[in-house]
Amino acid sequence: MAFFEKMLNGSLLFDGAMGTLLQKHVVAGVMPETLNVTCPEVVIDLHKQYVAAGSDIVTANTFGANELKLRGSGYSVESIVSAGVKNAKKSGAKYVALAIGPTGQMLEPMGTFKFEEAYNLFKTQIVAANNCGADLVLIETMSDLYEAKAAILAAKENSDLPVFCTMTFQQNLRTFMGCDALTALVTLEGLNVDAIGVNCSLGPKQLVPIVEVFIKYCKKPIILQPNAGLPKHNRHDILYEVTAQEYVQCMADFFRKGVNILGGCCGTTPQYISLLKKAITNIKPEKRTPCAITAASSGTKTVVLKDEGVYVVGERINAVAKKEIRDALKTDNFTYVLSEAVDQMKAGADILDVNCSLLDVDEAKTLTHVIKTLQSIVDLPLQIDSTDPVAVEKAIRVYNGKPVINSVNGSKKSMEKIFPIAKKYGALIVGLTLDEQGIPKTAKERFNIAQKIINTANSYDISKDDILIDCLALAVSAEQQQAMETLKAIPLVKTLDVKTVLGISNISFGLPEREFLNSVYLSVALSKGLDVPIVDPLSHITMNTIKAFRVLNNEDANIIQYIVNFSDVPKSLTVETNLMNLILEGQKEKVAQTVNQLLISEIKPLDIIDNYFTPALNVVGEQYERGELFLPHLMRSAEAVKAGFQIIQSSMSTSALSKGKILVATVKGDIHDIGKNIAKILLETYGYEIIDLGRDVPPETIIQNVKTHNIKLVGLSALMTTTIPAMKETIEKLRNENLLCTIMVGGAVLNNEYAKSIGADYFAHDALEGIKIANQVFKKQN
Amino acid sequence: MLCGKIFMDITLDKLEILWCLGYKKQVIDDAFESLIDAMIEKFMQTVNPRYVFEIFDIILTNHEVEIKNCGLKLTGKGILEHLKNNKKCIVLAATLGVEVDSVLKFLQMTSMTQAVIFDVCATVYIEKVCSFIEAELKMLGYNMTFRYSPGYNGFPIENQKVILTLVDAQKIGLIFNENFLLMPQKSVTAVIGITEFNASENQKCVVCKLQGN
Repeated sequence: MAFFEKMLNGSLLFDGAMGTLLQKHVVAGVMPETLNVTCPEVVIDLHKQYVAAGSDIVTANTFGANELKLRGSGYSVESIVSAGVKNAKKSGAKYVALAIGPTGQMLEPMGTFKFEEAYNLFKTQIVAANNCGADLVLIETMSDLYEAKAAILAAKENSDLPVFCTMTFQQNLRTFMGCDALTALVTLEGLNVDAIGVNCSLGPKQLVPIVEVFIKYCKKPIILQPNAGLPKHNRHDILYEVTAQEYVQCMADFFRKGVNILGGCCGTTPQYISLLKKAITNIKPEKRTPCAITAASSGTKTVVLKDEGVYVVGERINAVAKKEIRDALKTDNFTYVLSEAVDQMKAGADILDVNCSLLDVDEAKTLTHVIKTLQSIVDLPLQIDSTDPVAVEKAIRVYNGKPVINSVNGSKKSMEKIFPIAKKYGALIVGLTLDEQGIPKTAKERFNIAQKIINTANSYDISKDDILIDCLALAVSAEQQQAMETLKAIPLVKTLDVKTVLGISNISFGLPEREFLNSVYLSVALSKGLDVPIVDPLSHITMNTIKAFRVLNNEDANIIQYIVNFSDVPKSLTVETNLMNLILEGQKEKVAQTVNQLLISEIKPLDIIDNYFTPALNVVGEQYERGELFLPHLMRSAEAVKAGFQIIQSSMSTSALSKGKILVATVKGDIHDIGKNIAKILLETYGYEIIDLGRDVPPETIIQNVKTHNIKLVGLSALMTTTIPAMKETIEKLRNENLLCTIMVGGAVLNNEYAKSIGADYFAHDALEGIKIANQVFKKQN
Repeated sequence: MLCGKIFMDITLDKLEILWCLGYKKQVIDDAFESLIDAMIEKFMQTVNPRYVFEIFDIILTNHEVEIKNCGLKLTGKGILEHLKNNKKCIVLAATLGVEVDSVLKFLQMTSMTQAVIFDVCATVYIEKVCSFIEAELKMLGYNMTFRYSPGYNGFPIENQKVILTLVDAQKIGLIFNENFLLMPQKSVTAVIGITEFNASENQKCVVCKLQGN
């Protein structure tokens, strides 16, 4: 096909601005896309001007033609899209691109719009364009990589057209959603987009640092359609600062360096395109040789696994290996899972492994939910750890970025299942050196399986840059002669030019003082060339081994990281016994240490709570109410107590400590949840167990959880006057179910009378009042 | 339309943050003071402010404020009252960027104390952004009413849709969801009347519960 030939080996010229030029023909509030039907001649005329200027591809006027944006306009997606493509074809252009812009909604987790909702919006646009004669789909002006992913999947799953995708960046070289160029590139390449690049944003000159990243790493054709600089305004019009000559000069330079699909965005006109056409006609572009990298990403961050580096995969979120995670997942305690993630990140993990394999639990559903939850807080790439291909596919579909899949193995069945998923969505893949015959005994046999995995991946068009080989560490207690054999395999496998990964902790399974064995094994493995150890980042000895190795390996240049890290370590900490004072001062770490000491000296956990925590909190609370302390003081002490509680919880079950279970939620439609979160932490410090359903919670979810957890006290919050009706509805529905629970409400716009009028039992004007109410409710019940 | 994103001269003052946190000359220890400093610094590294505003001719009917030469209308008794003496209005939208939301979310997981302080930094900062825009407009010679935002009494929140459309707020990455809440969360939209009269006559809030303030 001539088009693909031009795209891959020649050049393609797009048109320039459409929407901004068409906007002049409609009044504010009317979408320029409706001109496709109301004034097709205006649209066709503009397309023709671009064709005359030399554009190979014209972009149909369909950018915002989605169901949500067209709602109330009187037009259907089908009518605007088909008219748009038809108009573009009438211009006589060689090729017509169906333009797909952002939905206009912010996707979860930062927003409230669901990934599948976005997918369905895009799908309607793609389906409407099928059979209209578009030659390609151009997904453009994307700020959110996650939204781009939804559009790409919708395009690829509902048409056979080539898919181009361009993102838009700000002056800080990130998109509005915080995505940088490399992260966009790595993710979009993984999703097999046919041409990748940048549009809109800034002027061509300001885009140099972004385009350079693309030129250096992008294996696909690069597409570039900048604005004519930033808009400048006078009282009547918008003017763009970059003239056609300046624009073309800069663009021609990019073309010379191998950016072969060019065009313009806001502020560019047929004149810009015509000059651009002339300028590039006689340029022979340099042949680009993109650098190969092994990289995983989240939606905003990429971890490139360099040859000279060691990268840590945190292993703590593992339902098979850790009872606490199993319990947390079974009871929907995702806060615990999140805190494990945050702790590992702070300890220096580069990637987090996530394993949710549980008996009696729908793994795909749990894994998907956990992945989404983790990505709402932590920006590290995740490693999807599952043996169930269905769970892997569901999780990778909703993942934002390019994850690691853990794992495939050398058996035909495993590779047939996993490679197509990895190819479709883009991922690094951990390849285990075992196959139908089990785990081989020798290093050479492991090498052979690694080679088989790499070759098979290649047949799926998966590059070995995306493969990490695991030579399999086995429990030395069971397979003592294997420990060294595994390590021998590492340098052998590395001759295949792939990175290696190893689950270090397996080695010490069943033995005492596991950390010693782990750290020695880790040291030897690193010296054999291991790139990616899977370890417990909260183990000091393990992380210190890695930090030390980074010095010896010449990775920690000038030993800066090492020195900074160890110069901060406090010399032998003296444990203060005045726990009360420590709480009043909000000294989190010292409170935790002191509680630990008290437990060691056999003080009973409940005595610590009754004799220290509660009285200290009461003092702080009273001082706060008298105005002697203010909110951050209160929170500081609460956090200190919480740190103490966590120590106690590790020696005692949560239910034995619990004064009662309270469900808290911010009601449907409201996303302001800081007040609820303040109340939550204070209630926790007084010994209540909190089921936190988060924000924007529908009444049905609240009812269901009240039933499942047998809740006696519900705390609802709403900040906006506009969401009070939702609070009322939630209370009514709870009452209609005849659930014997007390309801307290809080929020800036509420007061006592108002709370009563919507059916609440209590109004808490602040978090401390919430505690008094809780004490009262549970006293009555006990 | 005017838009911009450079606020080099907007800074946060520790005392301002303290006041907004409810500080009434309580004793502040060193650790607490350095925590506030650290949060201000973190906030300043995170914030990515942008704004856009535009001036429109308006026609007041009995029920609504019609934006001249387009099909859009602002509704609500409050906005009618607010603009009753005006022939033009300024529609403005400002956001601190999604990064602020994201850090706030993270801090709520790791330390509520820090989250509470960071949240106040955002509140103070967005207010300063709005004041900055107003000051710019005053420099241009406009006589103005105070800022009035959808969601306040008499100005239904549904007006967000019209406001964001009028200034094409998507250009600064500001959108609304199905419940008309702004995203990113730390964002403000407002309507300001441009008056021929002395602005001070129109400065008192007469339509909401803050009446007389």
